[in-house]
Amino acid sequence: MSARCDGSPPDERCLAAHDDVAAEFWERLWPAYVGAIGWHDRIWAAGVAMMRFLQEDPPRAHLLFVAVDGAGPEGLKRRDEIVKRFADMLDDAPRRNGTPGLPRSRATAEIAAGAIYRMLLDKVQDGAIERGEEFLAELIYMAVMPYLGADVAESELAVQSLH
Amino acid sequence: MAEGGPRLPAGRHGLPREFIERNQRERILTALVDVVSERGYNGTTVANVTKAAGVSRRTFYEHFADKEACFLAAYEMVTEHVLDSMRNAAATFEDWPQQVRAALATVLRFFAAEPELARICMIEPIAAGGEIAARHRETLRQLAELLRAGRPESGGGPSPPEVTEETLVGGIVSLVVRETNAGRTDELEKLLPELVELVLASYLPTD
Repeated sequence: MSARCDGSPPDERCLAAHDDVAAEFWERLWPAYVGAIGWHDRIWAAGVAMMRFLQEDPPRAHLLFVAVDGAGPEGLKRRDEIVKRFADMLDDAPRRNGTPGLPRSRATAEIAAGAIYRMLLDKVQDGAIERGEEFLAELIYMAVMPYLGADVAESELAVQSLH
Repeated sequence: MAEGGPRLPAGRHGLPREFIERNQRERILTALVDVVSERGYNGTTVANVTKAAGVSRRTFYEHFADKEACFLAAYEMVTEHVLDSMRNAAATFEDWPQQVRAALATVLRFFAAEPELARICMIEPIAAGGEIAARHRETLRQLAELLRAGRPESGGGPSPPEVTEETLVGGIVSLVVRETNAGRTDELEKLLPELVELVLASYLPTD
C-alpha cells in the first residue's frame, strides 16, 4: 500500500481505517502481554505477537505506521497513542514483582517506546517487515535495555528466531 | 521569528540586486515558517506565503520551484544550523559522555527557544511526506552518525546492535515531537538527564 492520508482536509476514511487496524493490533498484543508471567516474558510475548500481526498483512502494517503520518495533527495523535501504549508496557517493569529492573522515569519509557516505534516505522516503510525475525531481537533489546541494563539486553541478540 | 520580516521600501530604492534577492529569499523563508507553524505544511499554500512575505508570486517562483522546494530550503537551513551547533558543542569536550550531554543540551535548548523551528524540523516533515520526509530521514541518519562516532570512545562497554543509534534518535525525536506538538517546548530541557542516561546506558558498562 503506498497511499497516505493527505492531511488537508484530514482524511477521515484513512483515520477510521487506521483506528480499526489499531484496535485489532492491541487486541492481539495485550492478551499476549498479560498472558505471560513476569515482565521480561511479557515483553517477549508482546513482541512476537506484534511481529506476527505486522507480517501477516504488510499493507495493514503500512496503514498502521506509515499512511497515518500524512494526516496532520490527527495523524500525530494516533502515532502518540501507539507510543504511549508501548510506553505503558515498558513502564510496567519496575512495578512487577520479581523483575530486577532499574527504576526509570516515565520519560525513559517514552523514549524507549519512541525508539521501538521508529524501528517499526522504518522497517514497514522499507518493506522489510516481512523479515521481522531478523530484527525482533534488536527490538526486544531496545525494550529491555533501559530496565535490565545493556549487558542483559545484549543476551537478547542471540535469540534470532520467532519459531 | 518576526512575522514577514522587514520589507523593502516600495519603488526604486537603489539597493544592490544581490541584497534585494537575499532579502526577498529570507522574507519568503521567514514567512513560510510563520505560515506553516500556523496552518501546517499541508494546509499552507504559496499564496499564504507570498501574502505573509509581502512579495509577488513571480518573486516567489524566481526563488523556489514550488512550496516543497521552499520548505526544503527552510528545513535545510535550520537543520544544518542545529547539526553544526551540536557538533560545535560536543567538540568543546574530550570526554565522549560529556560530548553526548553537550550535543543533546544544545538541541533541546534550541528547540525550547524556537518552538516554530522545532515544528519545522520535527513535526511538519512527518506530515509532508515525499521528498521532505525522505530528507528528514536523512537528517535523522546524520544524527545517528553523530552518536555512532562515539562507539570506539565507549571504553570497552557493551556492544549494542547496529540499529541502536537510529532507534535511540527515533526515541528522542518521538519525545521531542510530542512535547512540541503539545506546545510544551519550554519543558524540553527538563528531559536532558533521562535522554543522556538512556543514550549512555547503551554503550557504557552498567556500573
